[in-house]
Amino acid sequence: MQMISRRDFLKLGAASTAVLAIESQFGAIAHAAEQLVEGGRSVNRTSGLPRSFLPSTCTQCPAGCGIIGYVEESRLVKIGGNTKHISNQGALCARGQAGINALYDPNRILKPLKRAGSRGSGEWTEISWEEALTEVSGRIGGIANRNEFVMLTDDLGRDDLARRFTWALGSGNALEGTGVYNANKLVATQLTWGRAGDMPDVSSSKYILSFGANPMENHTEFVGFVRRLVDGMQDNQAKVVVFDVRLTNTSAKSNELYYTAPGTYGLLALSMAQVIMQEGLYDATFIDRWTNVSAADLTRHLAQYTPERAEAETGVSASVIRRIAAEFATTKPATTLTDSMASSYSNGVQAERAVMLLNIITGNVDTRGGYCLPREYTLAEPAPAPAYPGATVLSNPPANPLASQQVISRTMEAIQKREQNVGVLMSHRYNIAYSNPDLGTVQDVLKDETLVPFHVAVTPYETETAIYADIILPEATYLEDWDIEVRPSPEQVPFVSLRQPVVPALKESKTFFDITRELANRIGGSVAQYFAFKRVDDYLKGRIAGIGGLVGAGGIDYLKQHGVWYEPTSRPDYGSYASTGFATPSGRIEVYSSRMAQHGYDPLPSYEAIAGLGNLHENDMVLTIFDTAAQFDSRTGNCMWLNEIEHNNPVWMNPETAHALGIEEGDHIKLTRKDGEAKIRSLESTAYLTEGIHPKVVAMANGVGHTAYGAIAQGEKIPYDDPEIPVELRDPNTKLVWWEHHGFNPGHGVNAKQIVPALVDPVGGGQAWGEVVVTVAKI
Amino acid sequence: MEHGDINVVYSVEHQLPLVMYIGQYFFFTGLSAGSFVISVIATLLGRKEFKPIGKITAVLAPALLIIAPINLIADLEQPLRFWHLFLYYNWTSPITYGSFLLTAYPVMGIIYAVMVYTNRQTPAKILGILGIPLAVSVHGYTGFILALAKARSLWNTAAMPTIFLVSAMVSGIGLVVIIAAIRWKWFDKDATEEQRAGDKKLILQLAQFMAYTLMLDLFLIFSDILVLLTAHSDAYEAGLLILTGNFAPLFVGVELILGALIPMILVLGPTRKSMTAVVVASILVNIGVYAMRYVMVIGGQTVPLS
Amino acid sequence: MAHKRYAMVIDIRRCIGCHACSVACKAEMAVPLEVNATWLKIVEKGVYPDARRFFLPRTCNNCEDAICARNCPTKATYKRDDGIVAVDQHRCIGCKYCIASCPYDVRYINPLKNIVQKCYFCSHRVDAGLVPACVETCPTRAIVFGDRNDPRSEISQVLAANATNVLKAEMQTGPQVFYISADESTMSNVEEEINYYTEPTLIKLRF
Ligand SMILES: Nc1nc2c(c(=O)[nH]1)N[C@H]1C(S)=C(S)[C@@H](COP(=O)(O)OP(=O)(O)OC[C@H]3O[C@@H](n4cnc5c(=O)[nH]c(N)nc54)[C@H](O)[C@@H]3O)O[C@H]1N2
Ligand SMILES: Nc1nc2c(c(=O)[nH]1)N[C@H]1C(S)=C(S)[C@@H](COP(=O)(O)OP(=O)(O)OC[C@H]3O[C@@H](n4cnc5c(=O)[nH]c(N)nc54)[C@H](O)[C@@H]3O)O[C@H]1N2
Ligand code: SF4
Ligand code: SF4
Ligand code: SF4
Ligand code: SF4
Ligand code: SF4
Ligand SMILES: [Mo]
Repeated sequence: MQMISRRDFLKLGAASTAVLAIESQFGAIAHAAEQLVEGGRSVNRTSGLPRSFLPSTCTQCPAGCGIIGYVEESRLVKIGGNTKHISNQGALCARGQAGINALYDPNRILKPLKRAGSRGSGEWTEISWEEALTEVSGRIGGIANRNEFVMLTDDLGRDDLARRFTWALGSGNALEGTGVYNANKLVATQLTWGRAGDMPDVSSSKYILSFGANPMENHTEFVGFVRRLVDGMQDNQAKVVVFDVRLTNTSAKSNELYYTAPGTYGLLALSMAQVIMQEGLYDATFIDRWTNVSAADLTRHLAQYTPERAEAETGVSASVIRRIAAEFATTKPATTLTDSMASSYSNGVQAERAVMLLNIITGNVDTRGGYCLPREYTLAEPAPAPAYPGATVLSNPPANPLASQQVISRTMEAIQKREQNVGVLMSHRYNIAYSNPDLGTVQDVLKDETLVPFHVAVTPYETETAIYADIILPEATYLEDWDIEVRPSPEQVPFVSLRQPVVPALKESKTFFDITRELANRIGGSVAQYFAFKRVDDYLKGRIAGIGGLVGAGGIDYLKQHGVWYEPTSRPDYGSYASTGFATPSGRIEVYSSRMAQHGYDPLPSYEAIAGLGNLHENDMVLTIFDTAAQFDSRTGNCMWLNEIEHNNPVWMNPETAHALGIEEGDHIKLTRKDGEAKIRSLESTAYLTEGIHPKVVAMANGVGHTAYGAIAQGEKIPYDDPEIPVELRDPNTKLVWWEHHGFNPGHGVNAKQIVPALVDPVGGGQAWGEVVVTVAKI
Repeated sequence: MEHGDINVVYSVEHQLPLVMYIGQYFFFTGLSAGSFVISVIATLLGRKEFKPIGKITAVLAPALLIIAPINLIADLEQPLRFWHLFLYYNWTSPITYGSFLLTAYPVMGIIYAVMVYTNRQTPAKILGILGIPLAVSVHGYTGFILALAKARSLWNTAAMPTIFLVSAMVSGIGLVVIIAAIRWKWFDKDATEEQRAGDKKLILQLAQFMAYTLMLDLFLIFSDILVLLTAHSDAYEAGLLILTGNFAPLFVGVELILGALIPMILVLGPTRKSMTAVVVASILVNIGVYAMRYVMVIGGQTVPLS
Repeated sequence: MAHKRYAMVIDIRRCIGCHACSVACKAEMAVPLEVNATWLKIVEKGVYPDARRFFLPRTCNNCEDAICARNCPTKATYKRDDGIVAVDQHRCIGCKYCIASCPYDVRYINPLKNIVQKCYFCSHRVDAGLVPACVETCPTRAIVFGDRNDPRSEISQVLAANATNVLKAEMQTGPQVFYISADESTMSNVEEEINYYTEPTLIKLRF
């Protein structure tokens, strides 16, 4: 069946417009004018009048899509996509559309708060900014040892100000949340090809092999990536094969889906590599020229990973492994997909390296349609740049020398063991008491005034973390804030985008720029010089200073007008390594990682079975926590339109397993963790029976289960005219929260992370989310 | 779940647009139409012993029809805009017909009642004859309202308007029997023994008429359901819903057994001479018809459409 | 010039079940919580390991022979010249007969305004020369919108090149939302329902 694809049509449209332009000279009707426009404008529903607008950048997830805020009477009324943005091209996901809910969350904090009761009691008194800033800067100024200032923050790079502030204070403890997500992947890629991360060029691929990635529900570049993935699948007829432990939207749309035993996909990838090498389907020239191993050595090393061995552990049959390996090697261009979950095991770095190996030995590295290097601009640190204060036990735990992304899963434990004394803890855009493993310990530490004598939360909301603060500084949301954003480009053409306030910060809330600047000025001394910017523009200009093309195009002023910039004539520079080499010690892809060898780890991609997951007892199951399309980790918890869709997370179970345990659909069940150190050991929920899950796996959704973060996040109604709620934030919809009584944990589900122990891959230092073995029982 | 089931993982709930105000409105128009027809029959036959019944029903008919639309307006989301019905009428909508019928019919009914009470036989007869099609339309159109909402397979049948009419007759006669019996028992003391015997006979005859109408009603329902069960899947489900599903207790238990079968036995069986039995039967019949309105209106909307 | 005939094609092969269209619609149309002008139906069927999941974005079909408009007693629901079926918010009396009549369950009473609403293909945007909000936002461009009467429009070409389906064709309402590759049992109102996210309690009986 032939289909005129959207892409073809757009091309065709352009061509026919040209034809029509000629036609119209002869009096034909100019047809193109009647085409409806894809976006970039918005009108009032009743008056039809155009709305005023400003471009900005979405921060509801890392993808950083270009958005346009449409405003009426200084109120944000709609968020649309920025059609000029090279990544999302005018499209937005559900979370991006719902950003308006985060801006006008009725429980948003709009005045500085000081703790009135005991830590965590949720009792506050309102104080003035003057009082708040004086107290916080006084506390910071009074710290004895500089490293006793600890900053918990969002992925750095995107939260540059937090790092700048921490470093300006002389502390090396700017700790980012990355460690609980794809740190293992970042470390694996960094070690192997010298760049952290990857960007499969899926729109031009012919064969796509996914190891536990689920880009159709979640991806770090969600809209930009999935749009190109679907282009690849539909317009380019790419074949997609997925290995996963459950039925995801991605596996539902795939050509083939194989349920894989948890934590074994490294073995799976290695066995495919073994087939490719054994059968001589590899790209000898590429291996020879661009890796630091020989094909012969590699074949010898891989010989142990036979498809038969893989079948026994992964559950995927040897014949399927052979066939798919051969298809992958012979269909060009091809690429693999992984996101964070693939490497979220204690063998995660090696698993990621095993998957990379498939691309490497088939010569699919950084080719059109292949497995590409992440293309993104590097931003400068505005002068004067604070010096790197050096490693600390928290930022670089000695036990994990290669963990360049920090080991945040263990941070709270380390503080509890007094490996690092804390004077002031500042939490900013990282809801550690919701997002981390071992939440019992996280809460204990945050509650303990001897461990954390002073905690200042800079946040728009009273999150699970902020409830343990001594002072809350009301921050502006991303829709009222400034920053420069860069992301790896799914189009393979790097871009820079601007986050600018589409409406002014509400009431007394302030941007993080203003907060850090005012604190720095009060602290004074050497600190103040790093924040001596007159206007935020001066800071932003400093960040893009190194990007000549953008500066030439008008710099910040260009970005304010267009929201995004990329080199207009730029085309993907596939194979750029040919001139520069790879950024590894050897300049080649380090299949044999010298740095891993240095630290006594197996230097070749290899597989070690995870002890607990091998021979599961009859009643034992592996818990998988997954992301859904309508929620983003902690961040979207207060968005009512998203909660209306996702507010509950019953436990997925295969009917056969469930029936063997006497469990029926909807039954109340209890999951109890078998072993591992974490304070909270069990949780209760209901069973959801589905044929779409591996019989030895139980799965629960992430993004729900809030115990703070305001009423909406907890699935509670808010009376419209509640006098506590500022008029600006009132929304009659909040009295219609209908899911209030739904589910076993009414209105909000349960946070599955609480029973996950803090367990990391020693190489990458990233959390091993996937290794939780539980027993399941009816209650 | 069982192997191979279809799981609806996500879908949204839908509102139930028409609530029991509408069922009640149908019930009252039915009663009104039924009583009017009885009244006109009484007037036309012109016999002296029919007079009291003719008079009661002549008042009942318009009175009930003033109560009925109150339900209708109460159901509107914008009750203060009810006049839009007359200003912005739409001739393809059965509700538009209804609005005009609902206005014309009580007016006519009141004039008719005045004629009956002032003993002006000829104009009463003429008005009565003219009024019957109006009464039939007023109630028949309510059946059309359901029948023409083609989304709902329980409603969307050709039998619907007729079922509504016949059940209206049933409930109307039932109401007349009850009121006539009350009059006979407590407010008829001046009458002679002979008159009282005649009245009683009349009431019992009316009840028998009710039972025969009920039979017709049952036949229509039977054929309607038979067709539902053999038609497309939505209709089949609608049939099952009332036969064995959530609405079975009301439909089979209340509407069919309590509201039809038992009254028929009471009226036609050994107790057929007992005033008490006949009155109980008439009450049951009305409960049954009320249940029928409920099953139709509410049940009809519970078969999922999406 | 001939009348326009606006229509929508949803290419299920491209739909990834992300709910963006539903949320964009909530924002664009100020659709309150509880009710939906468009929503995503997700169905799972088959037996492990062959179970699959199917998506079906649902909205008002803006029917050619719109029974809702035919049955509306005040002409509050009416069909525009370009085929869009609209509701005049000031004329609607809230009799809900249109909701009862529509075979697709796509109309709702706005619980905050007490009037009946539904998707009207974002006619305010279309009138301003823009595609509907759900079309603009769809991450994978699964929704094509345009004038079917213009043979050169994208939608005409997509309709010409692909087999399409409509919901409940037997209702003879002439739906103008066409699906490519929609799964049949997902399109029908299947009996076995195990609702995971929503529990079937929202249906309201007010009295
Ligand atoms: N909607 C949404 N999008 C997001 C996010 C979000 O929260 N919501 N978060 C963003 C961020 S920060 C990140 S890091 C990424 C995370 O992106 P992913 O890593 O893709 O996300 P997950 O849902 O955690 O895991 C993906 C899949 O891994 C499967 N899986 C688990 N264990 C195994 C295994 O052993 N083998 C195999 N083969 N599969 C397994 C799970 O079933 C799940 O479907 O997503 C980003 N995008
Ligand atoms: N079991 C399990 N746990 C996981 C994961 C998993 O896959 N499985 N995923 C992990 C991953 S990948 C990650 S990245 C982490 C993420 O963990 P976090 O970084 O904690 O989560 P975020 O969702 O980024 O939100 C952080 C905070 O930013 C603040 N914030 C700042 N600006 C805004 C704004 O404008 N709007 C809103 N709404 N909030 C704002 C909010 O207070 C919010 O709580 O979670 C991890 N936790
Ligand atoms: S993908 Fe991420 S950045 Fe893009 S619209 Fe969705 S939430 Fe926003
Ligand atoms: S936005 Fe597009 S891909 Fe997402 S659910 Fe709607 S139609 Fe499907
Ligand atoms: S789908 Fe329903 S509401 Fe929409 S036009 Fe058709 S009949 Fe009317
Ligand atoms: S509810 Fe409004 S739009 Fe619907 S039929 Fe009644 S008057 Fe017409
Ligand atoms: S066309 Fe507009 S009103 Fe209709 S579903 Fe899409 S966004 Fe909603
Ligand atoms: Mo993440």
